[in-house]
Parts: sequence; structure tokens; C-alpha cells
Amino acid sequence: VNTVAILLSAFVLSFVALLIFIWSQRAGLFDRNSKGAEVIFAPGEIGQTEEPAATRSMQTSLQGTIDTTSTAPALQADAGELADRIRADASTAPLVFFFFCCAMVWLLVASAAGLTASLKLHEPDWLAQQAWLTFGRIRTIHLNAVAYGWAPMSGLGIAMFVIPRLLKTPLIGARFAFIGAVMWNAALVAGLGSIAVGINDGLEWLEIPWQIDILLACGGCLIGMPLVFTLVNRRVSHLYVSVWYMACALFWLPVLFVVAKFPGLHQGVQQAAVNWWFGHNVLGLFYTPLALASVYYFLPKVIGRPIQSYNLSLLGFWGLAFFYGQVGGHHLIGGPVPEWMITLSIVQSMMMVIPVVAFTVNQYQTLKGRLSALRFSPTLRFIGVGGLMYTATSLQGSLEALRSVNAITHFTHYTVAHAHLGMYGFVSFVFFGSMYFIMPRITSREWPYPWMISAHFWLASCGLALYFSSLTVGGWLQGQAMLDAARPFMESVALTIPYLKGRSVGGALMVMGHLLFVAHFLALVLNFGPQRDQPALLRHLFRRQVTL
Amino acid sequence: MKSEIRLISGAMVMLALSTSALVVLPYMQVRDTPPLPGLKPYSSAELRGRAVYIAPTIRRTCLAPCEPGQI
Repeated sequence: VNTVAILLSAFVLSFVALLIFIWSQRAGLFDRNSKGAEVIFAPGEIGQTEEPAATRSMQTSLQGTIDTTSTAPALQADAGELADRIRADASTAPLVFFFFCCAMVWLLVASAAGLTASLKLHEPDWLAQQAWLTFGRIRTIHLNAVAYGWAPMSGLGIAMFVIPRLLKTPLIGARFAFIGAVMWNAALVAGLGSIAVGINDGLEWLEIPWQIDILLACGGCLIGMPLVFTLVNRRVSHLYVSVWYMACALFWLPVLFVVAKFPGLHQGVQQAAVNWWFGHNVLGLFYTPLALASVYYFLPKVIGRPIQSYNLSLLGFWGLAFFYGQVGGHHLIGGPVPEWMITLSIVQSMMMVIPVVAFTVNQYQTLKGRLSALRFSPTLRFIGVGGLMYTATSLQGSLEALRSVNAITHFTHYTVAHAHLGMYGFVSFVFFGSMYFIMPRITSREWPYPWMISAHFWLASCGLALYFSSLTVGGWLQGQAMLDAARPFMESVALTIPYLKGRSVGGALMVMGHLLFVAHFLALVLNFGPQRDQPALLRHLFRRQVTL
Repeated sequence: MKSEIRLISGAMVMLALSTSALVVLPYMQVRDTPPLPGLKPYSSAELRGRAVYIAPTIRRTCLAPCEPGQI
């Protein structure tokens, strides 16, 4: 097959398809008043902040920052719509709570495994007596506990909470998701156990044996069902941008997973291509859309102002759907795979700049003039940093795909730093922020210790900064040392040791942040700590609802 | 956007494009690639190693360093 012809035809075909799709969704594409962005607010609610994670005085200050900058006075929000929203929240509360409890457990497991793996890189003799505690297994357990435990449990829990709110419909069929989540977690326990005893499928991101993955896939399908039922029974005609991301993520993941895991289907070089098609798409077409959907919902909601350019979000969405799906080949630069595939992936990696810039400009315009709200809203602080890290990690990823940069950074700790900027700085920060918003809403209780939220934020941020800077510098030096034929290989290993120690310190700060987060979560659930009289905003409405 | 059918079908077409570029086309291109002429046959140790490498599920539970041929 003529490779130039394949490359050109794939490119032209896909670009035309992208244009056709944006055109087919064009309703109101050039409409400047973007009514669509306002559907997350009840009539008259724009200009009113919503931040259940803040204390009462912080909520007043937050509203104050908006009132001084907005021209139109806030109206009284439509009580009927607010009651609908409370009903939607109430319908999801037990389910979302269950997902979050699972997420907390996996966060602890993943943190412990990650820190252990990190320490082992500069203390290789520590905990080396048990096979399951050796680096190869404990690192894999860390990856799988994040990839199939913490991230999907928190992300899907957030989706369960947000989608009924956006569709103005109570969640339908929650019991399917309950059963699905139980199956998913059972499969994950079995999967991590099998990795620990040394049985795995031998492909990164796909280590869990396929026999166990059947249970995982069935659980995932059951989890998706209530979201589909709710979508079909919705009461709004317009689908908000967060719904696009969440709904598509739920349809993309099963296809990715089943195609990648199908036993006996992939062999040899093509298996490597499938491996990274999956590995990158599970990031780009599952975690990223779930996190972006959360940003698109919570950021405007907290500051009480709709997304500034709804059309940019359309471009961002279809750009992501199209470009991100084809970037996986950049993991195989230099490998024995078709050259055109690598080139295609590098080109699409650079094209990812388009949706990323569209997202960044949009969020910046929405926050413009209201940056002081960051001081009073814990949710916004986490989500704001998370959004910023999305921009940073995506642009860095585009550069890393270039052959000249990749030759130095690939196969070094630089890549690990990049992965954590994405999965932690972006995805996990956004999920932390969303959970701080959601928990008071579903439990009707306030976070008891606001200082713990601040401490979590600063521990996580400083930990990530130290982690990222250590590994980025160390990884770059490692890459240069490996390329220098005059230096022995061991030199490239030895020079990373101080940076690996720095990474462990950063990781330990992150773990401390997680311990505070989980302790605070428990305090809220078990009703420890100071009781304030008016926990969450709108609680009076909720009470009225219950007594009716 | 008002139609979930259009949304999901659009999303699936995007994924189909990505799958054809990174999964189907490489498969079609490399499945029939013959070995280059002049290659020496594998030794028996190499064949055993290859069998381990291409096994569908990896099972290595021995703690002590494995003897040659033990895997």
C-alpha cells in the first residue's frame, strides 16, 4: 500500500468528516448570544454564586466579588427550577455517595502503592522480600488502582450527579449503576490481586487478565445504563456541553476496552499499535472528557456566569473527539510500526493545540474579572488549577510528540512527570474540586473543617510542583546521558537519584493531602466536628421538600 | 445541540476513524509482511523465549532467579 496515499487520504477524509460534523451541529453556531450556555441556570439565577464547599462568610464574600463586577442585579431564581434541581440531587445522592466511598478507598490504595514504587527507585532493597511488593508489580498496582479505581469511580460519580441536574430529570434506574459499581469494584479487587501474584496480560494499561475484564466490562455497561435512561427521558431540549463530553465518554470507553482486550485478536507489531491506541484514548476519550465536563459545569456554576463562548466549546469538543483519537502512535516513535502511522499521530498531536486553546480561551474569558472568586471558593481553586494544568499538560504533550523532543524524553522519567501533570494536576484536581462541591449537596452537611480543604490544596499543589519539576529536570538529563555514546549507561541511572528522592518527597506531600481529604470526608459523613446551623445553601428548600 | 442520536453517532464516527487509522490499517499493512531473506533460524533458547513473550497471559511466579529453561 502506498503510504503517502494512506496518509493523505486518512487526513483528507478525517478533516472533511470533522468539518461535516461541526456543520451538522451548526444550529446557532454563529449565534452570538449563546442561549445554550445558560441552561445550567434557572431563570433569574445568573449572577448568583453556588459554592456549598465554602463557609457562610466565604459564600457572602464570594457573592460580593460577583456583585461588584456585574452590571445587572441578580434576580430571584425560579423556585420551581430550584426544586427540580433539589429533586435531581436527591435522586442521585445514595449512588454518588457510594461511588465516592469507592473512590476514596482506591485513592488510598493508589497513593500507598505509588509512594512505595517511588521510594523503591532510590531504596531498591526496601520491601524486596515479597514478590508482590517488588517494583514491577507495585507500580502496576498503582497504575491500575488510579486508572480503574480512583479516576473512574470519582469521575463517574460526578457524572451521575451532574447529568440529572443538566437534564432537569431525576436519575432513572440508579439500581443498575449500584449493581454495576459493585461488579466493577469486585473485578478491580480481583484484577489487582492477580497482578500482585504475577498473572497479567502483559500490556501496559491492560494488565488485568481478560477473564476478569469480562466482569469489569459488564459492570461498566450497567453503570452507563441510568445515564442513558435519564438522557432519553430528559425534560430539556438543549444538551449542555458537559452532557456531550460525559455521554460520549460513556460510549467511547466500552468500544475502546472491548476492542483492546478481545483475546487473540491482536498480535505482534499491530498489538503494540492497539496498546497505545487504547492507552492514549482512555486518557483522551475517557478521563479528559469527564474532567472537562466537570470544569464546564462547576466553573460557571460557582461564579454564576455562563460560559462566554458556547461556539468555542463546540469547536473544542469536536476537535478533541477527532484529533485525540489518533495521537496514540506517538508512543511508538522509532518502533517497527508503519511510518505513516507515527507521522499521522504526531500531526494530530500538534493539532490538539486547537481544542486546547479553544478550551483555555473560553475558561479564561468566563473567569475574566472574577478571579478574586478563587479566594473564597475551594471548588473553584481546585478546578481552576486543574483547568490550567490541562492546558499545560496538553501543550507539553504536543511538543513531546515531536521526533526531536521525543528522542530525548521518551523512556525517561520526563514522561512520568508529564503523565502526572495530566492525571493528577488536571484530572484529579478537577475531581477533588467537584467532590468538594457535591458532598455538601448530597449529604446536606457542611464540610466541618475548612482549614483541611486549604491544607489539602496546598499539600497537593506543592507536592505536584516538586514531583513535576524534579522528574522533568531529572528525566531530561537522563535522556541526554542515554543519548551520549561516550558515557556509560549506569551514569544515566546514577544521575537521576537526587531527582528521584525529590519525587518521593513530592509524592509524600500528595499522599498527606489525600489522607487529610479522606479524613475530612469521614468527618463529614460521620458528623464529627463543629456543627453549623445552616449547612449547605438551599437547605431550607430541601427541608420544605421533605416535609411536603 | 439538541439530538443525542446525532451526538453519539458523531462521536462514534470519530472513534471509527481513529480505530481505522491506528488498528485496522496497520493490521492490513503488516499482517502479510514476509521475513527478510537471509535470516538465520532461531536457536532453541530463542524459540523458548519467544514462546514466553508471545504467550497470551504472563505467569511468572518464581522468586528465585530462574534457571535457563525453567520458565
